[in-house]
Amino acid sequence: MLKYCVKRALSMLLTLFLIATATFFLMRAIPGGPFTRERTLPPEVEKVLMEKYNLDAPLMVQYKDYIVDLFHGDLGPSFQKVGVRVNDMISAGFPISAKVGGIASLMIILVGIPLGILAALRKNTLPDYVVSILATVGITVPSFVIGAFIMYVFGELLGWIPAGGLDNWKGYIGPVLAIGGFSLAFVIRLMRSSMLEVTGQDYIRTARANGLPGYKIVFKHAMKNALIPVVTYIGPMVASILTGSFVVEKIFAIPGMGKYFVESITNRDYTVIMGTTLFFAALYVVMVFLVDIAYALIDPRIKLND
Amino acid sequence: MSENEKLLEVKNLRTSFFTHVGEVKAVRDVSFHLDKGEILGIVGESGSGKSVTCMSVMRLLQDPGRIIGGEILYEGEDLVKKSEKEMRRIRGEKISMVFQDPMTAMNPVFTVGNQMIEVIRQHRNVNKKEAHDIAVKMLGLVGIPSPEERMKNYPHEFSGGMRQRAMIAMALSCGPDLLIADEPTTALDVTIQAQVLDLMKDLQQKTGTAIILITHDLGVIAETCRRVLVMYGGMLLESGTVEEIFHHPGNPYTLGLLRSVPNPEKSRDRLEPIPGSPPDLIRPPEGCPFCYRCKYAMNKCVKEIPPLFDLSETHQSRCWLLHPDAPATDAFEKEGK
Repeated sequence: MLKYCVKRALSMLLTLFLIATATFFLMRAIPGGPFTRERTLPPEVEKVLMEKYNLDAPLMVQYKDYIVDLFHGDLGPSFQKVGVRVNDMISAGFPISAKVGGIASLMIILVGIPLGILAALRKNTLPDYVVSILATVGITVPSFVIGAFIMYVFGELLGWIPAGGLDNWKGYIGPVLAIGGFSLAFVIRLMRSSMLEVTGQDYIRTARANGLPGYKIVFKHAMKNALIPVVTYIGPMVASILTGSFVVEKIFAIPGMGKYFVESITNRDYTVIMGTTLFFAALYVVMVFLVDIAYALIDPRIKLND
Repeated sequence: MSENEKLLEVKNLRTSFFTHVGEVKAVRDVSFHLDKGEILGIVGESGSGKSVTCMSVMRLLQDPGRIIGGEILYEGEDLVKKSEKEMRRIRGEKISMVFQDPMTAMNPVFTVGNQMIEVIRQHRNVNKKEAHDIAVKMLGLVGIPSPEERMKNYPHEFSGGMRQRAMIAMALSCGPDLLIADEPTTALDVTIQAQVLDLMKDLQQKTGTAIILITHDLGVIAETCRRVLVMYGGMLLESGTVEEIFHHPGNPYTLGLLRSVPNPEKSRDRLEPIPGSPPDLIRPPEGCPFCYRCKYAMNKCVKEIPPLFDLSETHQSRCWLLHPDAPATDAFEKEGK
């Protein structure tokens, strides 16, 4: 187990290194730069700026310098926000995004899985239809529509939730539903179909033939098998939900880190692009690793040492 | 135990599947009985209704299957009228079942021991330790070496034969009076088949559990059973003792089955398959289900379902050729062509 974890840790580092390299060169291939404006800067000013941020060095030298800094845990300064370091931007924004995302993830797991099971067990009856329709709506309606709808109906018309910000618990309702809506719907559908497949298996028939009560068949024998595909989806989903969403944070005025993913690219804020991408990638590979561990815990046929 | 006490009596059982394309009449008016401690074989082609009959007895039919008529008397009580809760107490405790494919019949994510203990504790008032000991004893009884360690294994760590043994151990762990084995050896290779059959016979003698053995393999029936039911198209075509069925078959279908089994003494003869395929059970033939494949079929066979004619006290057959007014026939001379 320890050997496996060390091996995985090394491969995760290699993955991140490759992502860093690819992102670095791809982002530099985009035309424009951090100081390209509609009104061009005087050449002297631009020259000073380029020197200050080490942008005048050859690309390979810049790459080497960035990787060296990265290994020291330094993501560099933002080009747009003078005097602000990327590390600080992430450590300020991530906890806020993660709190909203964490609540959304919990909601997805605690609501999505039971509803999926319910729909499967009550297949082709009213509860199934209701859940399936809600799930279809959740998948087809984009987050900005859900967000705007919640904001208008519950914020503007009914006044139940604040118009923005996270000052009290009510402030979380809108962003959590907007950011988690799609995944919640997806998990419901996934759990439903997975459960339906599992309940048709021979071992469920065996359990019934052995006189086991329904709740044991559903929550012990069927659920453990049905969870495998859901866990596969939930791992990466958590990584992406925890890092926030540009759209949702804009609608609900949340100072999270989701906006950096989009803004940094339009601004060609190279260090922020690198920082947010690598942060997300790191979270992602860790979640995939956790999913693999979860597989081995759920299904004994999956061995980690291979 | 008295010899001829009836354990199970099925009367006029009818089971259908209500599908989109219509009512599939899978079991049509089947009656039979089973004595205590007896091994009864049910033989027939795929789709003859043998498995559905047994799933009906267990009340394990999945939607859209339903029992639409008849009685299933188990020790005098009608299982058709039992509630799901009452059935749960019967399943596994009084009647248990072993299925065809041991590779998929056990839950892959729990240990064999866990699954056995769960069943034992469901039906018997014992603690975990006692249930564990019973499970170990049962695994030992079905011939699994070092059962104590094997309890901790997952099903995929067992071979096919061992899994089927474990399934039998699990099925017998609560001391049922009836074991329904639905093609228990079909998925196993021949040497393992013989071992599992011997095991079942052996356990039947030791524990006195009655067994219903469903199979399409006449060889298995000849080796194991005392009495046989021959099913076709959802109906019972013939029933009798193994000697009666194998040596004096009273039905052209049974004869066809016997002729399609290779005989090592006459290996040069061609096997004689039964032409055609089983009837469509959504619109079954008005008359005898076998009439369109039967070379002795008469006009009456197409029009009217034949009743069961008594050939002896234990031997019945559903065939119009047995009617007193039927024309003389060589149909039942076994060697006749």
